[in-house]
Amino acid sequence: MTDVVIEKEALLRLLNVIGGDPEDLQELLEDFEETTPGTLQEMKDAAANEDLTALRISSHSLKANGRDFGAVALADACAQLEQACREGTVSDPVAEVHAISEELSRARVALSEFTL
Amino acid sequence: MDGLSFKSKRTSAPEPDHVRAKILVVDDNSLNRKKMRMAVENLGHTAEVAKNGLEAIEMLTTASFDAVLLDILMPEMDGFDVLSEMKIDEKMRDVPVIVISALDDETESVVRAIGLGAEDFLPKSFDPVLLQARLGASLSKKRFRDQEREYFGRIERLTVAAEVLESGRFNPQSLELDDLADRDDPLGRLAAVFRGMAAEIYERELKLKKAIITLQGTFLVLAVGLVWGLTPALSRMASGLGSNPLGLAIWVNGVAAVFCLGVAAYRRKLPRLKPSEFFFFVVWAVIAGILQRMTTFVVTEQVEAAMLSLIVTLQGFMVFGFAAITRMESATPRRLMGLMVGLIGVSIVLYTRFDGSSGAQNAWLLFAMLLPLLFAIEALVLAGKRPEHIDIFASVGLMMALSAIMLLPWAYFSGDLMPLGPTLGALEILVLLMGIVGAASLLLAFHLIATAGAVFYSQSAYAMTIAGVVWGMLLLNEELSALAWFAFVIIIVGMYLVEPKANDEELVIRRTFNEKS
Repeated sequence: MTDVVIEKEALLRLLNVIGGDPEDLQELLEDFEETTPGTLQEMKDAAANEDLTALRISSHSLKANGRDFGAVALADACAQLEQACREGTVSDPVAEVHAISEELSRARVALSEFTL
Repeated sequence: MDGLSFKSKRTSAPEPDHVRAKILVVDDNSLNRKKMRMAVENLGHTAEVAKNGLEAIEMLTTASFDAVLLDILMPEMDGFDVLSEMKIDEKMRDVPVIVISALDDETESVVRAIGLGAEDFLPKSFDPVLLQARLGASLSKKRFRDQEREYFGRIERLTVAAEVLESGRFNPQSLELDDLADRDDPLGRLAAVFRGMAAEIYERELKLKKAIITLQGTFLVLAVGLVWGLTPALSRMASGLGSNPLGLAIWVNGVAAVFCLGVAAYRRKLPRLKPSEFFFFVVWAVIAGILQRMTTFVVTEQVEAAMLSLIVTLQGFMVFGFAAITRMESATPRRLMGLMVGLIGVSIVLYTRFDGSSGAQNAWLLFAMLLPLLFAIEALVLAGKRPEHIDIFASVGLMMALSAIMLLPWAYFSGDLMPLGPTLGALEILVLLMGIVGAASLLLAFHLIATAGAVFYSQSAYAMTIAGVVWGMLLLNEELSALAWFAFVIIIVGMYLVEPKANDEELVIRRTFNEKS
């Protein structure tokens, strides 16, 4: 883990988009905590069933969340998986999702410690 | 702005002319939905959210939105499906859609979405200023389109109103311009002027038409009275030539029937009667041909002629009372007053003619009331139950024929059958004349009831009384006092007050300008 896990500019942009109230951002951060495990679970299920369409949609979803919250590595991993799903070139979906799950854990830890 | 509580650190204050719009956010990801909702509300709009395409379509069908922020990649019904669905629906078609996409890998999607009718696109990680600009542009375009459509809709309605005018219908209500004329802009003022001018013309024409109908009605009432008033004089002449009343009635009704049915046959208007219609004519014949005649026979023996004339005029009040109860015609104080004025006029005429010595007994006066009651019933039956599609000549002819046939057995058993002809003597000519007069008076009465109503018609009793005086003056050289002339004027004033019944039909004005072929 060489890079910063969370890109501060992204979070500032998100704060700007929602109107600048840190309380609102805090609410969104809590939502991130609560909802991303669910999205990850969808990805795991899709990978186990080798359902590339479902995997693509959930990767897309998590990618967007990752970008919004500045989790660059997570977003990039999701983007790669989404792209692979679209092209049908996923070799080992379970392993890919596992890698993403680790990125997500890192991001969650980093976000929980993050202050503006 | 003091009344509104905006967040202190907001990045973009609403423009001065900012209009609060209602935006629908469609995204399957709850985090995205919340972010978008906060972003939209930050711009001073209200936001509602839909979790998927199906929910979005449902919300768009039940409520109206000013714009949609639409995610493309969603399970089941995706953004493209939502766009296609919206474009085929009349109500949703014009709601602008901004698709949200991650630009890096979805350029094709954006192109496809715009091809499907999306107004604009926005990257997933957007700047609030960008959201404001794109949303603002879409909303003002929509507002402009809405205004334009609303404006053209109003022009369309003005055009329709102009066509209505052209067809001669000036009634402001049929122009349906009221809400248009209430608007305070040039088009609204145009509509107001339009409606105002139409109303002015309509009022004028309405007054004119009313005056004409009253005049026509008055003329007809006088005509009915004059013709009817002739009958007693002719009857007396016939009696002098050796006829009896019952036999004479059969001949007179028969002649009238042949005359009327002949005219109807010539006009090819002889009807085929349904049983219910035939029953109407039987009832009419019983009332007019038998009951009225029998009552007259009895009453004229017992009650003084002047008094009887006065009693007969009560039919107007009876008809009025019945019309008031059943709401068949309008029963205004004005009309009642008109009838009163007429009664005063008749009373003045009769005042000079009362022969105090032979006052009738009260019981007979009461019985005499039956006569105006029968006349009133006849007028009301004709006004309310007359089969309107049957020709007027055929109607009168049928009734006359039926009453002649009904009187036949009575005359046979009382020995009053009266042989006439084959040579054309004085009595034969008189009978022919009486038949024509009888038919003419009934035809006039029938027409009057149909056009002016039973209440107005019932004033013919006044006219009959007056006519009796006038004929007396013409035929018997009686002198007409100034008082009688005064009474005559009073009766005419009464007719003006009574007015013919209001016509339900809309007045259509015949126009002479800009005729289309």
